[in-house]
Order: sequence, then structure tokens, then C-alpha cells
Amino acid sequence: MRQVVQQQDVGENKPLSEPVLLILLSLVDEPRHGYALMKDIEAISKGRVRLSTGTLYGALRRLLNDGWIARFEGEDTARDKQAYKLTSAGYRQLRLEWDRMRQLTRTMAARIAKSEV
Amino acid sequence: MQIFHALLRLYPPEYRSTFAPEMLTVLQQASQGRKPAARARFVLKESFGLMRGAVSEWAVKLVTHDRYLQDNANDDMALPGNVREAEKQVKLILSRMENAIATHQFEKARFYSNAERKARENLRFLQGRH
Repeated sequence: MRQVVQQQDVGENKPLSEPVLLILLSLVDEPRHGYALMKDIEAISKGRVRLSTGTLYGALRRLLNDGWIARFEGEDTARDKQAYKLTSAGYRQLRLEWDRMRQLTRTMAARIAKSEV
Repeated sequence: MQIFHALLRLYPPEYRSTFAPEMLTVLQQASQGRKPAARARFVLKESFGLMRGAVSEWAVKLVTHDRYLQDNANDDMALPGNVREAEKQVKLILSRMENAIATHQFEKARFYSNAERKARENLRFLQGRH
């Protein structure tokens, strides 16, 4: 039983794709609509990642289905300017990804340092 | 913008009615203030992205049927533990199925589709008990 639970955890903790990670990261501090997300993702990645609209909305649809983000109803929410916010499930996934990356960079640093001695 | 209107018609109707107005607004905002050459590159890149997106959305819709575009952002702490677990299982399988589709592993996607149907039946059974 213990083994089954651990295997399931490994499946859930698989790395997030870069667009998904950047979208979740962009929504951590405040809800954003599509264009603001695109610009923020470009800024976070220092201009390296420029998501196309098709890619962005494909990822948003998947994240809504998974319950990792939700529609944010602000006072001025128009049909063509829907904002999105991070849910607690999305925040959990982001923390898991952060843990995974920290563990990986620690291992990487140790191995590189060892090889350079 | 006419080309984007036309390309958005390639998407499944549910997707179009949910996201097309937003996507057109984003495309309009992103295209503003570009020089002709940059604008041409932008149109090319976005058109390719929309075509790829349409193919991917149809594939997901064909596999997930009535679960397509299901909004699952709910207060999951209000549900009993076994129902929450069953829901998590459905979401996990669904996400694996979408990954399989995205990487064109359709045999795997069919496997996850069957697994998802069984997991959903289990979820319905548990929901019926509570």
C-alpha cells in the first residue's frame, strides 16, 4: 500500500512544462488576463520565452480543467478580457516544482563541485 | 485580424465560444505598434500557433468527450476524503492522457481514456454514496 502511494506521488510530481510553470509563476502575485500574462512571462524569462496565443490558451484550458487556476471575476471583467487567478491546488503544484528544482540544483552543484576538485 | 478570425474557426465550438473573444483581444493588443516586417513575422508565428492549437484541442475533445472544458476549480476540502482521492485520480489520469496526446502517443492515450472512464465510474459511485 505504501509503495502504491509513493508511486502515485512520483507521477504527480513530474516536472511541469515550461509554459505551465511560467503561467503559474506569473499568477502567484496577482490575477492577470491573457495579454498581461504574455508580457509578464516574457519579462520573467528575460525575453527568452514568448508564448504564442494558441500555446497560451491551450495551457490555460488545461490548467482550468485541472483546477490549478480559476477565472477571476473583477469589477471590470469583460468577456474579451478575462483574468485568471491561481488556486490552492495550483499553488501546491508550484511549491512541489520548486522543491523538485531545489533538490536538482543541490545535486547538480555538489556533483559539479566534486568534478572540478 | 481576418486571418486570426478564420483560424479560430478551426477550433472546437465550445473552445471557440469560451476563449475566442479573449484570444482576439490578446492578438490585437500584441500586434499593435509593430513595423511591417515584425508584423508579418508575428502573423506567421501566431497563425502557426493557432493551427497547432486547433489540432491539439480537437484531439483532446475527441478523447475526453463530455469532460472537455470542464472547469474543476472548486472547494475540494468540502468533500469526503475518498471522493477527493477519486477526483485526484481522475485528474491525474486525464493529465497523463493529455500528455500522451501532446506527444502523439495515441495508443497510450487510448489506454488512459479507458482508465479515466473506470476512474470516473468509481467517482460517480462514491459521490452517490455521499
